[in-house]
Amino acid sequence: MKTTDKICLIDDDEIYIFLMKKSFVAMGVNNEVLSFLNGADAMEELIKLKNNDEILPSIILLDINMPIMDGWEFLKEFRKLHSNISQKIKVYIVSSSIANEDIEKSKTFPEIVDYLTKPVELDTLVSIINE
Amino acid sequence: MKTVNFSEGNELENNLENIFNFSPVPLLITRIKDGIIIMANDSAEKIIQIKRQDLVGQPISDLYAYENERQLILDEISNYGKILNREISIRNAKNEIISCLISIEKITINGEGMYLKGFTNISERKLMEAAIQKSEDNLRTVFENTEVGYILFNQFQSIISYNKPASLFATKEFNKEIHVGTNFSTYFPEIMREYLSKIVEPVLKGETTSFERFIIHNGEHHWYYVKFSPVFNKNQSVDGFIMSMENITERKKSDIALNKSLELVTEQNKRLLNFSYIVSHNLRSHASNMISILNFLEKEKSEQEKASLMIHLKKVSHLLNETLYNLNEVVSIQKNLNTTIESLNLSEYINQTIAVLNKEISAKNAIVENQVSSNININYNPAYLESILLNFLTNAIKYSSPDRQPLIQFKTSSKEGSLELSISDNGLGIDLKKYHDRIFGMYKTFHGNKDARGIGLFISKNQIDAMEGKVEVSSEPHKGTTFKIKFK
Repeated sequence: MKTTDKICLIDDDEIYIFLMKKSFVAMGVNNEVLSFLNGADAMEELIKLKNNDEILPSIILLDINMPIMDGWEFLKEFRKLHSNISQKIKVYIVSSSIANEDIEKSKTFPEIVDYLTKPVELDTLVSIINE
Repeated sequence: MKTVNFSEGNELENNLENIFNFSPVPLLITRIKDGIIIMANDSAEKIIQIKRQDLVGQPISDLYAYENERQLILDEISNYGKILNREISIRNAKNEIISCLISIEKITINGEGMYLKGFTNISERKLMEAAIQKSEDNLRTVFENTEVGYILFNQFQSIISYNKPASLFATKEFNKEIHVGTNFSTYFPEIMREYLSKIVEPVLKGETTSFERFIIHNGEHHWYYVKFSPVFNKNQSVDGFIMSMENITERKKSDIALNKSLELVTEQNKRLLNFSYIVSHNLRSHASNMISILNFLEKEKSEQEKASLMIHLKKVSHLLNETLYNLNEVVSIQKNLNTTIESLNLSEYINQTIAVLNKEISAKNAIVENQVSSNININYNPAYLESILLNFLTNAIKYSSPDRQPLIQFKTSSKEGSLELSISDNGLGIDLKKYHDRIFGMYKTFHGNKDARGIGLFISKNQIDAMEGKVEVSSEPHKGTTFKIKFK
């Protein structure tokens, strides 16, 4: 992963965001991290970046259960945006849910690279970043 | 009176004698004065099974099976001089009773009064008639003893026949008596006639139609299964139709009860699934944060960082504790642990709730109107009512619109015999198209408020359900929200 690549965290759990950022620091990842507490805020920022011809995040770690705009709704909006840009963006679901319905639903979105359940092991995080 | 002279041996008389003798109709000639048989023919010999020569000289009275019938015949012949096709029973030589039609004509032979008697054996016809009668009686018995009402119509839609259940149906449901010969449509109100003729039309073309209908009688639903079947004649064209009506109220009732319990089970199952999802999701999210924090704590050397991690750990443990408390709350509601029911003054409880939230109300400069009449009492669990009112009012204040002065109104109305409390606000509103199936779900928040915990509506709904009530929501984004609570 290039140092110019951005990482995007979308999760309503502030403690999780704090811990993820801490994990990146511990891993020596110095990339820019954008974090949002719901899908709507994240979407707004992504559109802004695109309109300003700035680089979008190359990795999005997305939660499912969030207020205002949840992970699924975000993905629907994201698809519209993604189809208009050439940059490859990998989306990972990071959720506390181990419900089968969520895991199965994630398979219907081709944008999703993988479904990760919390807590995400550092090793897993390293392999995602380095891929 | 006819005069036949058999004594003169001319051609005509010979012919007449031949006709008499060989007629297929059994014939006897008896003397009026003593009833003695003077002549008998071949056919008479066959039916009575006594040789002609032996019959002659016998009294006719021996042939009658029943004395009273003979007496009637005698009376009638002496009054009217003739008898045509009267049914009687005769007894033959084998002592068998034979049903006959007898015709008697007074004649004179050689100046003496005689009776010419002709018989028609109808015993076979009688047997057939009896068999038909028996079979009709059997059918009638079945027809009358079924639970199903039947009315038979001809092709002109006139009633030919009906059974008892059908006439009971007509008097009970339409207050009308059924009469043979009346038209189908006259039993129904004018407005139904066109509809009915549309039903009957295909039946007269040979189709069978059926449907289920209910009639409301004294507020009760009476369900009927109604069927129209065409009746075909030998040429396969429709001669009429049969209308059958079966009372299926009991079956329908148990169907409805079954559906209700299915709904209940489905609802409970849904709640259970939601609950297990929440338990799994929320407990796991706190637990995973704890694991991550502890992992960092283990490796952390800086005291300052350690302290900051400890603050986070405390926060997580506090949230976990709160989650457990909420889950326990939900479990106890669902297990119906707290079911004390008291008569509570609704208006008073609303005022109490307003007083409790006084600080929050003033902070938003909100107007809260309690329009509930002070004489309305409800039978409810006091803790639940308190919690429900507090929750809905808290929500209404919390999600008020910054663009206008918040107005929250409590009102009651009567709906389907139950009391309904509506709590309406002019706040932010909820996009129900998006969130409708989730609004009463656990930990669902819609506005991104920092203090929105998403547990309130879930608990309120559980409490309302536990009190066998209902809660509905209507809302429009940027306009406001109305919650309606129906008490049992």
